[in-house]
Amino acid sequence: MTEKKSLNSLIIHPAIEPGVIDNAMLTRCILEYGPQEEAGRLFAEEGVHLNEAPIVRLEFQNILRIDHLWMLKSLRKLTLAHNLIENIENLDQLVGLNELDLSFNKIERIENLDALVNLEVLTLFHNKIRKLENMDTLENLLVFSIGDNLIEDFKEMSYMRRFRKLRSVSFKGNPCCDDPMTYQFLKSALTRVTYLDYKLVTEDEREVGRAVFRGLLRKLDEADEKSEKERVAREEYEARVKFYALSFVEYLSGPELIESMFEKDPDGSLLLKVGGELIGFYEQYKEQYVETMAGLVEFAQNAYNVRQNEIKLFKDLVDNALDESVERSKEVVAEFEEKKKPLVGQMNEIISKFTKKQATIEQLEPNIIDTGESFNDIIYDLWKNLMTIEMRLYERCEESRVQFAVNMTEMITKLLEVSRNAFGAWREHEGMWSMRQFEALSKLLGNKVMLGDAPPELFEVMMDRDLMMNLVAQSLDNHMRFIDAREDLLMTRANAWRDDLVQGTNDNEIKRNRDRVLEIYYFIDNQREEWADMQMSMTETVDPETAALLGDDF
Amino acid sequence: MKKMMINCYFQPERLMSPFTAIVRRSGNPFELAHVLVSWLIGSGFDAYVVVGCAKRDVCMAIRYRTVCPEIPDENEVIEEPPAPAEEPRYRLVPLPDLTSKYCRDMQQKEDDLKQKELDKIEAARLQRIEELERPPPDPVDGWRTHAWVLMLGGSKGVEEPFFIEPSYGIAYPLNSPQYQYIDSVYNHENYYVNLQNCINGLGALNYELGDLSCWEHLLAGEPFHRRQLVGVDLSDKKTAYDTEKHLDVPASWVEKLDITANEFEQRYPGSHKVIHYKKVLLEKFAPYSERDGVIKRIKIYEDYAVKIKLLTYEWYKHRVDKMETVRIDHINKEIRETFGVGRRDHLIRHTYDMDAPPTSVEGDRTLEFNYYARLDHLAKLTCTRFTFHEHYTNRADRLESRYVTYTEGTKAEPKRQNKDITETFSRNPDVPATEDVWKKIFHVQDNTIELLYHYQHNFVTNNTRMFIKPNLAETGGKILFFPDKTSGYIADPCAKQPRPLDVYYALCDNMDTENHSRKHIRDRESDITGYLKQRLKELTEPTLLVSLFDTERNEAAKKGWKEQVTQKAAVTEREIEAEIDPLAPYLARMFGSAFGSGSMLTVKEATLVREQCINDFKAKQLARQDLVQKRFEALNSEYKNKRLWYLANQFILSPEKESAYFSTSAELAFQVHNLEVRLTRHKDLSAPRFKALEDYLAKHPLLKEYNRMRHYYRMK
Repeated sequence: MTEKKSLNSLIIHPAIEPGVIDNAMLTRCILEYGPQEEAGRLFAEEGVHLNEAPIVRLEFQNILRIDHLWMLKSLRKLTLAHNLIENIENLDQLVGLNELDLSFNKIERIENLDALVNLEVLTLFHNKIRKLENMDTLENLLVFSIGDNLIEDFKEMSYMRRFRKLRSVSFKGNPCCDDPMTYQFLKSALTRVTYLDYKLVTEDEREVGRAVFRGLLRKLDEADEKSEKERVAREEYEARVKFYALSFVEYLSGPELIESMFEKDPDGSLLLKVGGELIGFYEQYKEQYVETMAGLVEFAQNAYNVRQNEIKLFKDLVDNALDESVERSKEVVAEFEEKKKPLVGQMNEIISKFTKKQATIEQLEPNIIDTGESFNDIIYDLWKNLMTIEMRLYERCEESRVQFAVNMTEMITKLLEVSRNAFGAWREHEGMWSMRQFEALSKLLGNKVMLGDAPPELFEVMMDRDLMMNLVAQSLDNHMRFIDAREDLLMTRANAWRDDLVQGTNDNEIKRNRDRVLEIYYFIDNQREEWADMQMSMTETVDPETAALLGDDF
Repeated sequence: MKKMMINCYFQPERLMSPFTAIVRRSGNPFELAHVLVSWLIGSGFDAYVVVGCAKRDVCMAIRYRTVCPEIPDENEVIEEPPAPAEEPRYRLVPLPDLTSKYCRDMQQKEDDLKQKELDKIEAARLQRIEELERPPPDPVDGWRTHAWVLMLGGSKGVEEPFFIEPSYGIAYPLNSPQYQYIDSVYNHENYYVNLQNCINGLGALNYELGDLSCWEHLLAGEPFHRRQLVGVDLSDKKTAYDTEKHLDVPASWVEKLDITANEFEQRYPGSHKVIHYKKVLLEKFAPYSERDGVIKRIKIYEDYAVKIKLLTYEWYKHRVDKMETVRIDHINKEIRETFGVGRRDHLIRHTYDMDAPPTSVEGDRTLEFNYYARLDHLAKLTCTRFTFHEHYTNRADRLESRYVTYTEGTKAEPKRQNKDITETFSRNPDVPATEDVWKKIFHVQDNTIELLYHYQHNFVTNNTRMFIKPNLAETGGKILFFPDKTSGYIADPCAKQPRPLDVYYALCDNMDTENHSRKHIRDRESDITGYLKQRLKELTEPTLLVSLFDTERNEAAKKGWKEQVTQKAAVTEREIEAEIDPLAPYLARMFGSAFGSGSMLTVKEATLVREQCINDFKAKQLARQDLVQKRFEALNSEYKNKRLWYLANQFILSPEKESAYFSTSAELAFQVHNLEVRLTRHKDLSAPRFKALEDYLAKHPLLKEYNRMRHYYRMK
């Protein structure tokens, strides 16, 4: 026994005290698993940047708690195998994580994985997990290992059915694996899983399992189908809302909004319970509303298409102009390189003459200055040409940009006008409804026979004229406020969109212009520096006066 | 066939039928026009033979003053992009025009003046050429009789009337100057004489043949299908037909015209024809008539006497190497071959210098490939003495081209030496431009590697990186990194300098790539040399492909067919030989020989023999019928028994047994049916068979005496 223990302790880093993750450990582990030899030398020289490491392996480190990993921002693969971890925690920052290995630990519960939505490989081999839970957000899960745990009921694994991309599951070594039914169930229930315990599942095997668990599987299938349908419907609805939101008219098509308006207004819904004539009026009101809004929605959709077309026209123009200017600038740069070549040749000749002591610096000086001057000339030409091209591009696009802003404003104004009309019509309908409601209610006021089966609070209201009038007025008020809010929302959003677009276009153009100018200067500085370096290599030994002369700007 | 007989300017002396003209493959203009009109009318066109007068060149088929119509047009068709559908609402502000308008105008004037001068010289030159080319004066111009073809509109998509010259087969408009007068026009329906004056050219004539003021008809009236039926009751065809008197042209007595595919291919007399156009010789060959498969050749010359060659075009067919056309430029000394798809090396165009060494990549040549079929997606290859340029299309690794330059070999190394290798890659959209290599330049002799990266959006300079390769021999094969042996430019002033580790990795990668590229180039060169050797062999020993279905030339198939025919003939011969004499066994029994004693049988002997024969035949027929009958009955009863058994037990049978029953009973039913058919057939046939035997015996030479007797008695 003792011998075995000593062997074990030899394998597993004996010197490390059980503890938490710290900076030193991270650095050590990254270096240890980083590149080797010459690359390793460079890697170490550069120092470890925790926020850039894509892979970190913390194995056999006797870690007790997961912590201090938030630094590793670009982490894609994390291995914490062979440690003493008991809880999964503090992983919320590692959103980009692709692969997580927590095998050979003491974890008892799956938790705190919700943030890791990009996780594809999750390994929990040899832990103390009894239940599968808290993994609903891991939609991209591809490989999952839960072997050597304490799962006693194989039906637990039906949890894994929800992962649409799951292809490989390892389950071996759980207490329920002694039951021959387990694998039959797994093979038949996890229809999308291709590899079980790293072995291919054949169709025959699935068939056998299906025969045994027919009833159970049907129940599971039904539940899945239901949730699937709900999911699809929800997604469709969201997509539609998103689509309408592009033209600022989300929720406006169909009676949806007016229904929610009544829901939010308890007085109105209470009065609606009177029934009779009132329901007819209500239906009429709804119809009128739907009709009005359908007009608005259609207009907004068309306006959206027109706007997109306008944006495309403008973008095409600007992009073409930019491409052209870039092309021309590249030609200018190529021309410069062509002109530079003979000058560099001359300079090299001079240097070689000097180094071979064929001539002194005094003799060569006029030559050097000549070449330097021609170089300065071509640099100046380069600068002038590049800047001309860029300035022209900026100026030539400016008018179109202004025109574009004007057109966009005009379009949005038109849309807002139409929406104002539509909302005005809605308000009118609302007023009409309110009037009719009042009239209908007035007829029934105090009529105990007619209101015999009304709910008590409604009955109470209908017995008192003031109370009823109050309620009607309140409901109208509520509705008007609701309509105002919706209209405001549309207007603010449309205006904000326009401002963003116009402002963004302008800002982008200015930024682009500045970037280009900066690039041109940077390039020219670089060229000068190169030239100066070339001269310096010769004039290192020369008196500082000449050096100053040669290194000077024109 | 179209070879012209020299035609005097009077009427032809003889007129062969179109059939004979086709057989002879030659004829005078009338005969040729008859052939052509016959074919055109046969395929539904409204065609006529025109008799009239034409210019000398047409009548005598002189073509060395006309431009060859078959010279291929080498001007590339430039397709203009379609104009944008929508009027652009935005436009760039035009740049201010800072040039002097006055200067421009002056310049323009000067240019115009110069241009005018040039135009004048050019016009004078053209006029001189025209004068030189003008044919010598013709003393009998306007009197030479000629026949050609007139096509009238209204049928098979022909809209306007036009002429066809039967000796060339080329269409001409009505007002073409070579045709001068029309005397008459005819076809198989009528003969129309022209009443109009032809002074204003033939284009001014009225070609409405029904117009009696312009065309006099030889036969009165019009054929039914041409009549303008006004006020005639069409419901009764007979009356409608007879309302107008009409005489028909006598029906043709010429044999039906027919040209087989093979005859069509061999249409040139002697499988070969040469036409002399202006400065051009056009040669045509029948397919398979030449060893190298050439079917057409156009030689273009500098001078009228066809001495100095300019260009040669050749067209080939049925070549095994799939070569289709060759263009030889004798001035630039350039040969261009084009190939059909389906070669093993997927070559589609090969352009090379006439003087280039035939099997070496060091000459000037361009090879274009069908890149889609090639695994390496090589599209084009250009070689010169010191360069080697590969172009790729659609490669997965985005390599677009690889350009290699060489320096001349030294005395120690006579082969040319690699100087630079430039590999160009297209932009990979999945990688940022700063990490996407655009060009890798390996300066092999300078021991350096240069990397140029792609341009970022809105950038006019790109990142570059330069390595001086470390000496691997000194470091024991390990690549070490020295910061002073690499330099680079980062286009973005705000970007960070690259990490040394990444630079080091780039160095390692590119040292590998360089080795791969150099090996690749060696392989490619030997590949191309192989292709060129193959080409040389194909050019010097051309072979032609014979289609499997070509009944004329497929020798192997022909041999097979011949064998089949002889085999068949042998079988029939044997059958004829072995005609069976039914009397033979009886004669043999009586006389010891199947042919009797050689002389006629006596009546007694004959009666005996005949009796025996007929009795035996009857017995045999009966026995056979019995046998079949018995078998039929046995099987039929078995089948019925089975069926009864099944009907009794059908509800307690297992599915396997049931299906077994069905299969066996189906088989039984089939056999029973077979026997039944055989039996009825036997019954039907036995009477005719007996009759046939009797007939045979009645005509048997050995029984002549007996038959005569019998006949005599019967008659009595």
